[in-house]
Amino acid sequence: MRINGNAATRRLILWPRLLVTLCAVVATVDTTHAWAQFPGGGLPRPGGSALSGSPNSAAAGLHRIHSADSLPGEVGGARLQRWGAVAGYYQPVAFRGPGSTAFSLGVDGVFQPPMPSQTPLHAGLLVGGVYRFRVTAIPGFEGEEIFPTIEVIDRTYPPHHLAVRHPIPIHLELDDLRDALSGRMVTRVIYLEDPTSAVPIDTTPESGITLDIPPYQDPLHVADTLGKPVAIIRIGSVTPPTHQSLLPQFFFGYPPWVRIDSPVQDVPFDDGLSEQTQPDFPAAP
Amino acid sequence: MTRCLPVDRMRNFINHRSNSVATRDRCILWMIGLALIVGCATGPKQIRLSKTVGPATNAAAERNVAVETSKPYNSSVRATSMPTANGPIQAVVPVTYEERFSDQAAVQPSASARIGDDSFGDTITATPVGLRHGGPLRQMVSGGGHGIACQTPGCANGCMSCQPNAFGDQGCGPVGVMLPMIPNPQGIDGNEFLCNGGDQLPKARARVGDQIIGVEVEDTVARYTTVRGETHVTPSNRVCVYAPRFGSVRRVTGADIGEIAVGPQKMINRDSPIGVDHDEPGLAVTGRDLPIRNDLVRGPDAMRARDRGVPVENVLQPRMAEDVLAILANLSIMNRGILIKDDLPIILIGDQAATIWSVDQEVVVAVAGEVAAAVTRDQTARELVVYELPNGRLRICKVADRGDALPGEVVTFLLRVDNVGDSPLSDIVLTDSLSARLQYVPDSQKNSVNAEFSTSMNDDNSLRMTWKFAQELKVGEGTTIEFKCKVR
Repeated sequence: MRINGNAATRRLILWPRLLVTLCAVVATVDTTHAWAQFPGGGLPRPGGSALSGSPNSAAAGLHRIHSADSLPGEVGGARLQRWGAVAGYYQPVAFRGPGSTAFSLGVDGVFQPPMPSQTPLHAGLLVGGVYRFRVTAIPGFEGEEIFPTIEVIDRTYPPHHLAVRHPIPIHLELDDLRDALSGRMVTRVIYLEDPTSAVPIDTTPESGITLDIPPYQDPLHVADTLGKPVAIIRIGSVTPPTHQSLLPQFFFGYPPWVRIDSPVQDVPFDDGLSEQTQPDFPAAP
Repeated sequence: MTRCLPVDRMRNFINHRSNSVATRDRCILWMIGLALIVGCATGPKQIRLSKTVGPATNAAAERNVAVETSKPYNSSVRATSMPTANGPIQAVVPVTYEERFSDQAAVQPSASARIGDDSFGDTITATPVGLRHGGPLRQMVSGGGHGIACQTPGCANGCMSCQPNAFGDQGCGPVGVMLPMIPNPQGIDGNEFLCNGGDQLPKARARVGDQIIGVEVEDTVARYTTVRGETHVTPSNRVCVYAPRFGSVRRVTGADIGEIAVGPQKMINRDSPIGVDHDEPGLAVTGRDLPIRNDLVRGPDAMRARDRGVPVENVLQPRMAEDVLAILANLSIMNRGILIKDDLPIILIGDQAATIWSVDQEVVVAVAGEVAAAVTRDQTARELVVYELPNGRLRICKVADRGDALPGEVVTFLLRVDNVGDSPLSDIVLTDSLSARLQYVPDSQKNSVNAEFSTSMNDDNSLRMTWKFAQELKVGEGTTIEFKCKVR
């Protein structure tokens, strides 16, 4: 468009256009940062997450909306608003604790009988739900109970047959339980490790990697730099409410879950085309 | 009666042996038929042609021409497609597969659960078997590596287990044989897979001696020398195992409720804040700091800086362009010695020009007052000779014995190295750089040739294993290397 007139008139016309352009650029950058703050990610891919180890999310000076100090259910609820098939998916999790520690989830305000100490509790939890569970038979603290919460904020995408075999491990260490019983608040953020930056440490399904951070750091943000955060565990509640009217709030609305009684230990190979289930490697010629 | 099951055929194909001649022949026919169907024999076909012109032509008319067919023998069976985030996934050779979830775990809904969806359905029927994708991202990861034939150029050598090139530079996908692992139709997260093999950027290159540069973590490449003295580097296919690993970040703070606040009352220095602040640093946890992670995690900047400039080494393209005519500078036959169809019209013009300059002039003779004209044109006498220049080619196929693994479990990898060229190969050095989550089980490697095995630490504090073959690999000869790794 050609602009006629003297220089002052042209400046008067061009300056607002320049300001509009600058505002658009700032809004674009700000939107990019805002996408990166949601768990589950700003990238439109199923397993991806802008919070999960992307360089942008790990950049210094990023102002994030969510943190591990957010209200229970807030981070997971925000994940449900994001892209991906997460709503309605029961994410398998496995509860493990030290020694004979027993876990039980609640149904309609009543905790189920705990699983035997040798059998870890496997359950499918909804992404976005907050579940209250009970920890009993703590070694060294027999008779005492803790009522932590777990909030599933993302899911895994295993191939068929492997969803139950590879649950999200919920490892509670004795230090966690001891600190909670002494009145402290323990926050654990479980994350899916990025294999390209994995720590070369031997682990087993019974032992995970735990990184302790000081109180002034946010575990959700730190976990985001290491991988994809998938669950937040808050350990601190030691007393259930006594009044019946407080139970729905205590159980966060009784979100449904499914119990997995016998998790698969090994999946036999069956290609459906031959009688041999596990082909051996060929011998050297 | 000995049957020829698909798995048996795969094994026989690998072993080059069969129980009987009839079985072997039938297996070969099966393999040929399978290859024709799924296009296993794809990849650039190079046919060297030598066109010799008659004796009256000049030297320019005698030339070697290499013809490259750019289109592979494509597969012909395609079925339903699956929409994905990164492009369509096309199913090839659909085979109905039923997953009996109830056989593995009994799932009982809680009393308050409203289970109406198929999250834990009893029977799931899935048809997409043998997927191929063209997307650039880690879209599809096959598991197990059990006898999977493939056809894409990245595995043009005919790998038996072609993994999906999860990070995508070759778009390789398994084709043909049933996959034991069906990918999640709702998506794939590459962070949940542990991959090994292939050649990530920067590409591996051979240098003087036995040195191979550009071998990144997870790479599996081999260096070899042909009978003509050429040194090449070839990668293996990529094998991915579903092995997610989880960690946790733990923070301990004072409770807001409970009257047991962690405060500075017991500190020696009284100059700290009197008020109780649960965000006070260093009160609950002392000396636990983040740099532990920073010591062990490598950032992407280091990778970029390590082999900077290496890929452009030994590029002689501009130098060649200086020596040829400008009009011929962009011809593939001039640059690479390979004739492609697109250059044929230009080359034919040049061929005619060369012929015109070589044609003998007419001879006119007068005898007894009568003029007799004799025309000599000898360029029609031509001879076509087809032969293949001696060229070696190494094929590396890598498979794993399982499609998923929990931390602490052992995965066995098998490398099959074959000389699929037409000349012996020497100075073969095979290297495999393990990722940080794979720990080599000591003394677990076995090889069928007398290869010198050595290890060294790589950048991920894992091992880089190297096999140096003591003997040359003859035409059609192959060897296997097996080793075990523990998943960390």
